[in-house]
Order: sequence, then C-alpha cells, then structure tokens
Amino acid sequence: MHGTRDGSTCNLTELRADVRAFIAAELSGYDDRRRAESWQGFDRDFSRKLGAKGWIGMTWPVEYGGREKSLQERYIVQEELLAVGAPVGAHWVAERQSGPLLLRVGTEQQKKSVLPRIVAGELAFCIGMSESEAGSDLAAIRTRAHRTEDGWRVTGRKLWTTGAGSADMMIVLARTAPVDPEKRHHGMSQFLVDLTTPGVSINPIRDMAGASHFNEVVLDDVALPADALLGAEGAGWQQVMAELALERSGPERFLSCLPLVSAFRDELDRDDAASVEYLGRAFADLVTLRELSRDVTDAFSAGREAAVDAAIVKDLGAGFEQSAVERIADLTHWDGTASDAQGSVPALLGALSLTAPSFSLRGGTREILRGIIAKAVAA
Amino acid sequence: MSDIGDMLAETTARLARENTDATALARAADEAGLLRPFSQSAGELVWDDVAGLVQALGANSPVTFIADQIAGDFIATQHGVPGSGQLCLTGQTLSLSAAGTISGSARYSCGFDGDAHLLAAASGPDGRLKLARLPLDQGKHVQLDAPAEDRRVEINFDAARPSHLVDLPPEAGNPCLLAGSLVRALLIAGAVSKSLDLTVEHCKTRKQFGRPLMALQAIQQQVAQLASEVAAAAAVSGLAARHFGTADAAVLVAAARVRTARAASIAIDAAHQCHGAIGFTEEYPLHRFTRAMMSWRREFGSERFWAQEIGRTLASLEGRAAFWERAVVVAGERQAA
Repeated sequence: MHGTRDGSTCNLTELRADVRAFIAAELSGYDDRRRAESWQGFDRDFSRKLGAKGWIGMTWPVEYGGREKSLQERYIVQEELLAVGAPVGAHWVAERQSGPLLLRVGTEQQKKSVLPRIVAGELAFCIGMSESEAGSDLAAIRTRAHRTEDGWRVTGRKLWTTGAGSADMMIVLARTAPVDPEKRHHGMSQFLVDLTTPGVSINPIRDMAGASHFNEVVLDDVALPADALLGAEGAGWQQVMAELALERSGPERFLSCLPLVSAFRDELDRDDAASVEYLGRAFADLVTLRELSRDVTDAFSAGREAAVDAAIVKDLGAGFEQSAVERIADLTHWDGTASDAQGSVPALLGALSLTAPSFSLRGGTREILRGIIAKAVAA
Repeated sequence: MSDIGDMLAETTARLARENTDATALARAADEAGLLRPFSQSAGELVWDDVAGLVQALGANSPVTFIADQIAGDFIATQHGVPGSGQLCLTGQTLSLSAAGTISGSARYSCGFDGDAHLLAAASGPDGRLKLARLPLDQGKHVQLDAPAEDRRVEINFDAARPSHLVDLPPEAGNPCLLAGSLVRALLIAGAVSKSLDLTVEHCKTRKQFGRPLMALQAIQQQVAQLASEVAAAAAVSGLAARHFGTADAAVLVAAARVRTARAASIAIDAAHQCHGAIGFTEEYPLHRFTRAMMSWRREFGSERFWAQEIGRTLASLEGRAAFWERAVVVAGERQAA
C-alpha cells in the first residue's frame, strides 16, 4: 500500500528519525573510505549495537528474538544505514538471506540455536554457493556431501566467498546425488557449516581494490552432524533461488554510491550547469529505483513472487551506481588521487572507482540477470 | 494503481481498440466521461486513478491531444476555469499586459476538429503568473513538423483577449507545464510497455538461423533492458501521479520526465534493433509508438531542462544529508498492507 504523509505513517517517520539519531551518535566523523565499503564494511560492535536496538531480524518471530515488525519497517532501517555507508557487514548476509532461509526451511532446533544470535549481531554468515567451475552456472558445483552413520562428510572448494574470513557460519550448497544431465538442478542440498569445524580452511583472495573480501573456502572431508542439513535433501536449488530473490532486490543494490552522491551535492559548484544537471539525473534515478525496490518489498510482504522484479532492481541499480562513479569523477575533474586533505568526494571516488566493476557482477552478473528477465517476459 | 484506475485503463484500452481513428476515439472517450474525469466526477477521481487511463492511451493509441485534454480538465477544475469545450495545453509561458491582453507564441498538440481553447500560463507586468483560457481563433497558426502522428501547431498571439484569466498561487510554478509533463511521462510509460509487447511477440514468432529470435542471447539482453525500462517508467510516472497536486509535485514530475525520457530512448533503440527492417515500415505498428515517444520526450521541457530544475532545487538545500532526505520525503512512507 502506498503511504502518504499522514497520521497512519507516523510510526514509520518516528522509526526513521530513531535510526538517523542512532547513526548521528555512532558514526559522526566516520571515515569516507570506510563508508565506501558500504555493506561490506565489517564491524561487530556496530552490529551488536544495532542488535540491541532491535534492528536486526526485526521482522522475525519473537520466539527467535525478532520483533515481528513489517518488511516496510525493516526497509527503512536498511536504507538509512546504507545511505550513509554504515558498516553493516557483520550481520548483513545473515539478516538478509541466511536467517530468512532458516526461518523457511530450518528445523526448530536450528532456528532456536542460530536466529537469536543473528538478532544480537553476534553471528556472521557467508554464502557457500560459487566455485571455480560454477560461477554463473551454479548447477555445475562439484562440492559433494555424503551421508555417514552419524551425519555427513563434505568435500569441495568454494570460491569468491565474500566475508568468509570474518564470518562464523557458512551455508554450503553441495551435491548429495550424482548429476543427472537431464535434471542438473536436482540432487543438491544446503548445509549449515560452522567455520571453526576441523577440515575447514579459509584462504583470502586479494582483490584489485587491495581488500580481501573474497575468499576460497576449502572443505576437506569435513564431518558434519546430521542436523547440519538445511531444508530438504535434494531441494538445494529451489532454496537457493528463493535466497537469491532476497539477495537482489534490496536497497544495497543501488545505495552503495549514495555517500558519494551526497558528498558530491555538498561540495557542488552551483555555477557548473553540468554538475547541477547530473545531480538532477541522479535524483531521478534514485527515486525511481527506490520505488521499484519498495514495490518488491511490498510484493514479498504480501506473499507475492517477485524474483524478476528483484533482478530488474539489481540490474538498473548497478547501472546507476557505476554511472555515479563515472559522472562524478569527470564532473569534479578528479585526477585519480585521494588524500585526507582533498575532501570527501576524492576519498569516496578513490575507493568506489576500484570496486565499481564488481557492482554488475556480485549477486548475479548483468548478463545472467538480463537472461532471467528476458525469459520471464517471453514466457 | 487504484481499482478505479484499473477499470479506467481497461475501458480506455477497449475504446482504443474499437476506434482506430483518433477523432472517433476522442468522441467515444468523451461519451464515456474519460475526457473530463476530474470535472465530471466532482472531485472523486484523483491522479492516482487517472494515471492508468493516460498510460493506457500511450499503450494503445499514441495520440497526445486526448491526454492534454485530460490534463487541461484537471487544471481547469483546480483553478475554477470553465472546463467545457475542448482544451489544448501549452508549456510555454505567455506575456500578459497591464490591459489584460495576451501576447507571445506557444506550441500545442491538436486533434480536435471544431472550437477549442488553449490553456496557458501568462506572466504579468508584476511577474506574477496567471492562468489564461484563450480561444484558438484569437491567434495566428503555423503548422509544425513533428515525429508524432497528431498535429503540432505554433500559435502566435498579439494582444489577444483571453476568455478567462485567473490568479495562480505564487511559487507553484506553471500548472500547464507541470500537468502536460505529467501526462507525457505517463504516455511514455504506456508506449514503452507497448513497444515491449510488440518486441516480445515479434521475437517469439520471427525465426532466423532456424530458431526464434528470442532464443538468441543477444536478443534476450535487449529485451531484458527494454523490460527494465518499462518497469522504471511505470514506477516513476506512477509516483509523480500519486503526488500530483502536493507540494512535492514539481520535483517528482521533473524526475518522471528525466527518467521516462531515458526510458523512451533506450526502448526505441532496443525495440527497433530487435525488430529489424519490419519495425521501420509504415505497415507495422511499432513506428506509431516510436514516433509519439520522440515527441513526448522532448516537448514540454527537455530532459536537460528538467534535470537542471531538480539539480538547482537540491543544490540550494542545507545540510549534509539533504540529497537523501529529499528523496525520502518526496516519495512518502509505505505502510505494511
């Protein structure tokens, strides 16, 4: 439902004001280069404080530590944090997709042991999907799990696992049945893996921006208890697809560069017509993307399927983010250097220009997303 | 969109199918009460309802003057000017003399045969804006070439007498420019969606290299971009319609014009690439929507004009979070259903 600015939405306005006050208190003077890390900025203390405010897993049932708030309220918290580049990386993946996956398919025991710790901001998750031979073609995974007398044994190598180096848990997608060439999407299952389990080793991969958000996670005959199986055996593909819809529609898909656009406005030369014009274009893009993204939230909230709309948000969102870096760099005559003395825009550009190529890769490449969209409209 | 909006959109689509001639469509729409939705509903209908009607026009019969008539009906109703007769709309601001006569030149779209009036804003000697309702026979006409299939006319007034002249609230801007812009954003949203429908249909049936075009990844990528632009244009034009008449109308209409202009550009390119030569023929319907969008995206203020309007407003705001705060405020909060 579309809200108006009347009394019925005053609780939302209050929530937004609370989040802004919290941000003002916690993040004043926060470094621009760290803001540019957006939802990959990892700060357990910040996540714990957010958890204490009740702003992690806030839509989840009370019995698992949640507050049973609406998805629209959660959206407000998320977007306000992203708009300033707050370090939400220590809980982001867990809150966005791991927790909701557990809620949907987890056992009572799994939910009781894991969800309250996510809510408290104390449990960081990473996503064990991609492998060296299975990037966009996820069904090509080779990691295998087989049953033992008292549980499972898992062997394989996960690659490009964002945040594994600082995470506590990983949800691993593994083959539990041999590949059937006719039904490649069958025979996969998901497992809940504590990253301190013997046999798990994590090798950081330095990226072109000098960071090590990426990792290789080696699972060398890792013994898992029987209750590590998450959801139904063989239903891994369907579970993963539902997860990806959550991964693609959120405000993090178009707000990574918002600290940059905000700083650009603050430091703007008002007499430069081209800069003023770009500011207007960026605003038009932002309100459009927000509208599309909030439509997806409303669809999820009403129990409607919206995977294609989510793919559209992500594809258009990445385009907006990448063009913001391009345009602002040129409009401000940026020479590629940054130092503390130069102000916010060069500092943000320095960090974001190096990560921008990944915006249309992470969470599904531009080409994969467009394939999904085209197949849906042609159906 | 509201339930009434869905109903109005369905009726409009049906009338457009039954009346391929624009004049006949206008007559049928008038009989169905669609040309004067605001004045005839005594304030019951709002833009959130009427938005679907205008989008349906853009998707079914790409004529402009019916949409301008509807926008004119809104302005007339809002400012207490008689809405009777046929209304045309211009985005140009005319000049008003101390004696109450109007001069200057204005461009508008025309499809009515018979008497019609032009609604225009006119700036007085004191700089204040007034709304003028001018009989079209009070000016000299020049027929203009334009891509869209309905006529574009330039009218020149030299000390013309308006039939009605009313004060406009200060600081509210030119209501004809804003309402004409809103309907153009909505029309484009409809037309890009029609372009997608035609493209998908064509790519599913047309075979090359032994298989439907849709099986080719290069085509799929274009179709997906087109579909994304359909979503973007519908979202931003719908947002502007919902808030039309509020204090945030100007910035949202501006955002809708900027974003739908780009949607039109991308959609025209993708649809024609996917269609190949057939899309360029007069026989095949795609060109009607392409040509209409070529006019709609440029008249009543260019993309650049509207982007600068927004940019100037934003640049003048105080506070470090002003860009974000403004984007949040104008769209309003959304309550859980």
